[in-house]
Order: sequence, then structure tokens, then C-alpha cells
Amino acid sequence: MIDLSGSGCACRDPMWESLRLQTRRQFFGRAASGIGVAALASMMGPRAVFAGTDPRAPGAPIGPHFAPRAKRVIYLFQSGAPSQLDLFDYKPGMRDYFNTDLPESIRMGQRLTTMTSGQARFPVAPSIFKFAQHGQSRAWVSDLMPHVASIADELCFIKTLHTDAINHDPGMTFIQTGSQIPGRPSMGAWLSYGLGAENHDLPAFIVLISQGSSKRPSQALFSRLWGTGFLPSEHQGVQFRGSGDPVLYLSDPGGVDRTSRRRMLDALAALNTRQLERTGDPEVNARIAAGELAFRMQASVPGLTDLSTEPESTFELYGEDARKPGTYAANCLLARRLAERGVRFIQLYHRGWDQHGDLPRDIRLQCGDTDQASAALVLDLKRRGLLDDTLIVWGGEFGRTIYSQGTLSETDYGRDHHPRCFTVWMAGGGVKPGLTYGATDDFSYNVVENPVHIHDMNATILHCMGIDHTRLTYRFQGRDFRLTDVHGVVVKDILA
Amino acid sequence: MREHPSMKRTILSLVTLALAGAPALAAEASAEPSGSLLANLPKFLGRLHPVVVHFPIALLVAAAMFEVFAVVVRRQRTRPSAAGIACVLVGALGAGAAAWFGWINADLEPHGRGVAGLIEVHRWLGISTVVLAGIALVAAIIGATGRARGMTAVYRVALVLAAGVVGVAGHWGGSIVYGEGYITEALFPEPAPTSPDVTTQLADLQSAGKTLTVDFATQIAPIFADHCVKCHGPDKKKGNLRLDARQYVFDDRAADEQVIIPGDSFNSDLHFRISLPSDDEDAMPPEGKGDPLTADQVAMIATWIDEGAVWSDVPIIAPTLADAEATKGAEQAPPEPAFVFDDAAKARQESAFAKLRERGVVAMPVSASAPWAEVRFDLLGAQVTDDDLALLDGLEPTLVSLNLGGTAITDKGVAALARFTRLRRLHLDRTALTDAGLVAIERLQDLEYLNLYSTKVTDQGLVAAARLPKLEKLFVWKTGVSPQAAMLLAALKPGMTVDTGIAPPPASFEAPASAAAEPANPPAPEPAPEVSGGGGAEVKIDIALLPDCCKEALAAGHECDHPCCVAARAAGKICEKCSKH
Repeated sequence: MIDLSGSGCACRDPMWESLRLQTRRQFFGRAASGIGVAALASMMGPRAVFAGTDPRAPGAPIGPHFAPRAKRVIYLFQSGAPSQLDLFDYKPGMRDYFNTDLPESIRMGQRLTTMTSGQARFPVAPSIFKFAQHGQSRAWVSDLMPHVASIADELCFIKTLHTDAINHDPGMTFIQTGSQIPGRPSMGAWLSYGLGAENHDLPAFIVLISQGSSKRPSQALFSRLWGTGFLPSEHQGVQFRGSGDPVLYLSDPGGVDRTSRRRMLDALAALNTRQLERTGDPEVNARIAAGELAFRMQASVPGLTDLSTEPESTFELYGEDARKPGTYAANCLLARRLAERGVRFIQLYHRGWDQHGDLPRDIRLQCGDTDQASAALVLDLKRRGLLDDTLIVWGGEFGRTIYSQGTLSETDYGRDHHPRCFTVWMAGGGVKPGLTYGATDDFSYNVVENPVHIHDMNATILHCMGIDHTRLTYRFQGRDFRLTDVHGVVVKDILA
Repeated sequence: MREHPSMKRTILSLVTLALAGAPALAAEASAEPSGSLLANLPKFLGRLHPVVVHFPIALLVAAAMFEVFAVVVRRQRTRPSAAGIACVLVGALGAGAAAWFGWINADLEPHGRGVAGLIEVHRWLGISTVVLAGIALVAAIIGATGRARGMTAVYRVALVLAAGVVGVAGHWGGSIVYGEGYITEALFPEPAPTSPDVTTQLADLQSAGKTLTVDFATQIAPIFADHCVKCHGPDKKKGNLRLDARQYVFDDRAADEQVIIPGDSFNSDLHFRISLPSDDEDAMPPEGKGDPLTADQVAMIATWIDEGAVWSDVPIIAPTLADAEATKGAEQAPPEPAFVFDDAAKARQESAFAKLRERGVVAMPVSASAPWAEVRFDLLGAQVTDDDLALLDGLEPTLVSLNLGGTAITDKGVAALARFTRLRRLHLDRTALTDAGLVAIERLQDLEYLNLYSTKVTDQGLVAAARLPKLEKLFVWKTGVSPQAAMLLAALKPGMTVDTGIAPPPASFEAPASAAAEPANPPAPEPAPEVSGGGGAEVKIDIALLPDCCKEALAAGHECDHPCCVAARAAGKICEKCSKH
């Protein structure tokens, strides 16, 4: 072995340690660059030298592949899976089937969760809510969502989304990362990686979470849902909290002023840069970027989250809840303010849609949380001219069953998870307004027309953002990864 | 000579250095394609490979000959010949340099498909030469001291091997440049292929009971015309290939240069190239040189080739700019550029971008595939004044989207925007803009989106908006624009949405029960010009219903000032009194 440390005893030198851990291939690659760089470094300057290790300068976006229709996405994720049967997918014929068993010709062997697989029978539970058609588009919306109904002509309802998962965590992981198994980058991280930030004073990917009012406990959310997986860490979602400091550890402690903070960051960055030169670890870059972004956010976040400048009319539109930080309404208002500031991907989660029992009670509470604010966000962006290039997506991780979980009565029922069809709506940047796409069977159990898989929807969202989903890739562990894996077809029919 | 081991180490490390430096250099160069003289140095070194490579070939072979001569004629068995050592010394160093330069050259110079395999073989033969020559050199030096007799034998064996390998390596190198079989071809030339004759082809097909599913004249020729012959035609002949007539594609090309092999799309280079992802360096059309073919078009060409590539003689001519203008659909994104986005224009745009970014302004291309530029001043808010608009100089031909929302610009600044005639999206919301400033906007004839919300614009200002032929979306929430004027504008300009920002009330579910019980969607009513108040609050107005006084006033650019009409407008109605006249 060659003694690179020059100290005689190599084992104490961290440089040696890091070299020892490297594979042979890395060693030769690095040694090659090292020697080549040594010869040319003085002549070519530092930028060119580092460009050699990573042809993409840190943070440089790949850019949209083609002119985008949407510049940003607001994803109103309804965590827990809202019932399409009680909100949008109107099945009037089901009244005649009240409390009859779901025919096997409809179920066709669908795997069930262990919550209902042991049930003796699967009695059909028609929705007890009143439906009507709205706007020129004549879209069906139930009386649970009068505000969303009033903007039906702005929305594109996809009634035939379907997924592979039947439980919450795999379902959410799948819809957000394109894989049921944790570890892949979230859609927001992909877009941050692919498009970069417009506003460099804020993260490109921001996460806002609100608790539902439903009585039943909510499903857990994990921060890996907005993680970067193998993408560089600067692309991970930054969670803004609903109470206390919006962003943790953002305020300077007493006695530290802006100048000393700046000096501290500069010194730290200089040290980190040296470490980067030694190891070439891109995560060092992510660390430097995080420090710099946090410094800029110290200036940008207070103004962003200060709602005192909003006129009274704003709260009339979004509802009084919008005054309470951490509510869905407040998060919708914040989402509009983030959209105005050019944030690429704004991910909301509203928890509490998992209505296995007492569905009528809980879904009313959940709609009370979200109906007015969801519609308000669309309207507010529209009158500001921002809906034109903002894509709003509303939806959960799967649908719910036509049959009742637990006891069925005239006024009460529950619904289990259902992967074969559920409804999402989109609005704004690049999708057709006033469209209802796809159709399900009379039981809202199977797709009969125009199925849209999760990968298709994700491919379509990327398409609206000017990205060819087959070309946004990242090489990791020897292969190229992408959000849609090897699947996904852009749903051209819903594009404006 | 005690320094032998150290000499050996020196030589070994030299070889290692030479080998190791090559990929690094190549990586530097590919990261910095067109820069200073120094940045181009690797490419230059790479091109020295064919020059330098003659040294090891000639000298190693010569050294081997000297040794053979020494052994056979002079019976000098124990020591290497002096001439041999001299040749090996220079030959080994030359081999090292040649291998190094060659490695760079292989990575930097574009090379055709099918050559990659040759290059790999050549690369490792070259490296083997370096190693063998190195061993020979070291052994020769030790052998020359007379201390280790065996070393002379090692030297001679290594040298003969090196001479052999360098010869073979040289042959592969030649094959890369001239093509395989270049030498033998001179003795046994292949007959030139004859082009498949259309009538015989068709007759063959007919007798075989097959019909063609793809018609060349109507389905394939137009693709070649639109996507290929601009570069592969009479004007440019890129890659010495023309696709505008059968003769050039089949008859005029050698057997191994055929880009279309009838009946075998898989092995047809043309099909291979068009099916590559557009960022591949071999992809056709190359990135930025034309629209990539759609999957359907590629599949159609594959079918056509597999069906025998029947080529009937039809004229294949690249469309001119005028044709493109004439056939351009309404939804076709950015218009065909009337200017050339050459390196100079690119440089002007980049320098404008740099100045804007220095000011903290977001300035970027709209996409990677077109020259169009987008600039956002709005994130800086009120810091931005009219003076900052000078930073846009140089973006006149490419600026399509400009956001000045919430800035401190005035009518004067807006007037200066008239030179950006390609603007399609313009945000002037939340500024001090008045009707006077809007006059300049009239010159922006490509404008599709105009955001005026929260400005001092009034009904008067809408006259300017009405003169924009392509305007689709106009935002006038929180302005002095009256709902009536907005309605009228929407009525005058079908296809334009005027957003006054009025939110609709929550939907009512007290509809007649029949509506809810009716499962089928009734046909949607005729789309009417709408003033969208953000959703369901569309208002239909028949311009014919307006009284003459109001029509005349609006045509003249102001609202009717009859007291009765003013009162009616305030109530959201049409004046009944004047309507009766």
C-alpha cells in the first residue's frame, strides 16, 4: 500500500480513513482526477476543476424540457383517503341496492385490507348525501362541498384514478414517490431538482400540515414523504409548522446579530468547501446550501407568514379558520402567498379522512375544514391571475369501498380502503377546466372508461411543468431512476 | 548501479501518471466545451495522438529489428544492443504519450456508431504496448549493466511482444479512421448496390400477396421533408447524406454506408438515429435543429422500412418559413422566430440575464428547447423602479414573459415596454399604472395574458386591451373597470376572459329533486362570452341589446354618460329607457 499521509502511521489521518473506505473504482477515478487536476488546476481556475467531478454545477437546474403551462404546483393532499362515493362519484342507482351484498362479478377478487377481509358480508352502503350538477360543466358534487361545487367550472375531475396500494403508508409513498417502498425522492424533490428554485430566498419545496377535525384518529405522516431519497439533500421539502416558529431554529439566538451570523456562515462555508475538495461528497454542498438558504429565510419568512397585511376580504373568502395558524384554511392562504413568491412545489397535507366507521359524522367535519378554503384558494389565485400558471391538485391516496365496513344503518356506515378507483380534481396551469374525465361502474368499484394510473397522473403533472417524465432521471446505484419508474403516460385528454 | 530500483519506480510512476491524467483531462474538457485556449488544450492534445503515435510504432519495431540483428548476425546474446536501447527509450516514452493523448481523443472526439467497440480494443492494445515497452525499457537498462543476465532475455521477449502489439494496435487505429477492411477492399472491391426498383418491389409484393400499410409519398416523404432535408438535402448534405431522392439514399452510397436496409429497420442506421432519445449525441434530428419525430412517426418509418422501403419518386422539399407560418396552428406554442438565435444573440441574452441576476431579478429561458426568455421583477417588489427596466436591454427579440407585479414602476416605465413586441405574458398588477400607461401596450400585438389587477386602470383603459388581437386573459380585479365595461369587452372579443374577481356564492342544493335524480349529463349549454367572476358567476350579455348611445360611447373609448345609463350600470343593468328608443 502507498502511504499517502506522509506521517508514517496512516491510521490516524482522517484522509487516510476516507481513502481506506473508498472502493477500488472510486480510488482510481479520484486518483486520476487528482493527478490530472494537479497538472491543470493552476491554469484553469477552480470552477473548471470542480466541474470535472460533477458536470452539473451545484444547484443548476436541468430546466423545463419544453415551454411549461404551469410554473408551480399546489398539492392539496387529503391524507387518509376521502370517499369518492360521498363527494363526487354520484351513484344514484345504489339506493336500490341498500344493504344487499356486493356482487362477486363486481369485486372480482379484489384483495381487501385485514379490516374488512374477515367480514361475513359486504353490504352496499349508498351515500346519504345530496348530489347536484353544477356550473356549465354540469359536474356532480355533493352537498358536503357547496363551495367547491360553486367553482365546478374551474375544475377538472378525474374519476378514474387507481393505485396499486391498499394501505395508507404504501399508498401515500406510492402516489408521492412512484414506489410503494420508501426511499425514493418525493415529487416535490424531483421538481426542485429538475427546475430549481425561482425564488432563492425560499425553499423550492415547502410542506404545510393541518390536523382534521374528524373524531377518529388520523393516519401518521412521515417526513420521508417529502424527502429527497437519493437526490441531493437541498431538494427535500421544508416543513413550515403551524404553531410557534414557522421554521425551527430559524431565529437567531439573543446576542447574535446579522453580521456575526454572516461571518459565522462564511467561516463555516470555507471549512465545508475544504472538506468538499477533499471528499467530493455532494452532501457537503447540500450543507452549505442549507446554511445559505436559512440565512436568506431569516429575512424572507417573517414577511411571508405575517397575515396582518391581509385585508378583511381575504378572511371572508377563506373563512375565519384562516386566522388560526396551522389550520387547513390558514395553510391554503399561506399556499397562495407562497405561490405569489414563486415557490415551485407547495405540498399541503390535511389529515383525518380515514373514515372506516361513522363516515357521515366525520366526513362532514373534514369537509367543514376544507371545502371553503380549497375553493377560496382556486378563486383567489384566479382573480390574481396566478391560476393560469399554477397547477392545483386535490386528492387522497386511494378511494373507499361501496360496501360498508361495520354496521350499516340508514344514517350511518363506514367505508374501507379501495384502490381501483377514486376521484381527484385539478385546476389551473395546463389542465382543462370544467371537465369530468373517466367513468366508473355503478358501484364505483371498477373503472369502465379512461383509467388513470398514479404514474399517469404524475407524468401529467410533470408534463404541465414542462418536464418530460421519461427524461427527468437521476443515476443512483448504477441505474437511472425517475418518478414514474418505467411507467406513466401523459393524459393528453385533460390538457388544455 | 544502485539506483536501479528507484529508476524503475520513476518509470512506473511516469506511466501511471500518463494513464491517469488522460481521463481527468477528458473530464475537464467535456465540462468546458468552448472556452479559453487553455480549456481547449485537452482537445488539442487529443488530436496530437495520430502524430505522436508514429514514434512508438516505428521505434519499437526498429528496436526489435536491431535486437534480432544483434542476436542473429552479431551473436551478441548477453547484453542488449545500444541502438535497441536508444529506440526503446524513445519508443516507450512515445507510447506513453500516444496512449495518454489517445485516451483523451477517444473521449472528446465524436465518433460514429459501431466504432466504440474498435476504440475499446484499440485503447487496451495501446495500454498493453505501453506496459510492454515499459517492461522492455526497464529490463534493457538492467540488462545493460550486465548484472542480471536474465534481464536481457526478459527485455527481448517484452520488446518483441511490444512490437507485435503496437502493430496490431496501429491496425485497429487505422480501422477506426478508415473503416474495417480498408486495405483489403482495394484488392477486392464490393460491387455498388443497386437501388431497389419500385415497380419490381411492388410486383414482388403483389405476387407474395402482401399489401403495403405505409405509403411513402403521403406518409413518409412529408416526414423527411419537414424534419430531415433541411440539413440532409441539396443545401447542406450534412454527413454527406441526402434524403431528398432515392438515388442519394441507395445508389450513391457504398454498401457499408447504407442508412436504410430494406426489410430490416432494426439494422437501418436511419431508424436507429431517429429512435434515440433526443439528448443522445447521435440522435436525429439533433437537439435544437428541428422537432424530434413523434413515436408514431418513428414507428411508421420502421414499418415502411420493414415493408421493403419502397421509395416512389416524389419531390421532397424542406418547408420554408412562409409555409410554416401558413400552416401554424393556433395552439402552436412560441411563434417561429423571425430572427436567428445565433451565438451572438445568445451572448447578448446571457449578458442581459447576468445583469438582471446581479440585481436579484429572476431571469431565465422559458425552456431548454427554445430561445424565449422570461423575467420576474415582482420578487423584489417596490425596490424596482422605471430605471431598472433598462436592464432588459438586449432581450427585445426574445422576451416573452415579464412580471412587474408589485413594483414601483409608473406609466413612463410601461411606455418603454413597447419595444418588447414578442411579449405574450405581462404582469403589471399592483402597480401605479393608469389608463395613460396602457396606451403603449397596444403595440404588444402578441400579448395573450395581461394582468392589471389592483391598478388605477378604468374602463377607458380597456380600449387599449380591446385592440390586442391575441389577448385571451385580462385581469381587472380591484381596478376602476366597471363590470359592465368588462362584460362588453368580453362580448366584443369572443375567446377573451375578463376576470373581475367577483367570487360566486356557495352552490345551492335546493334544486328541484329531478335534477339530482337524473343520472345522465344533459348537453352543456352553448358557450357564451363570459365575465368570469372566478367560477360560476358568468354573465351572458348580448351586445345587440345595448342601446345605441352606450354602443357609440364604448366604440369611442368611454362609457355612456347619460345619467339614466350610468344609474343602470351601477345597478348592473342595461338602461331600459334608452333601449326602447
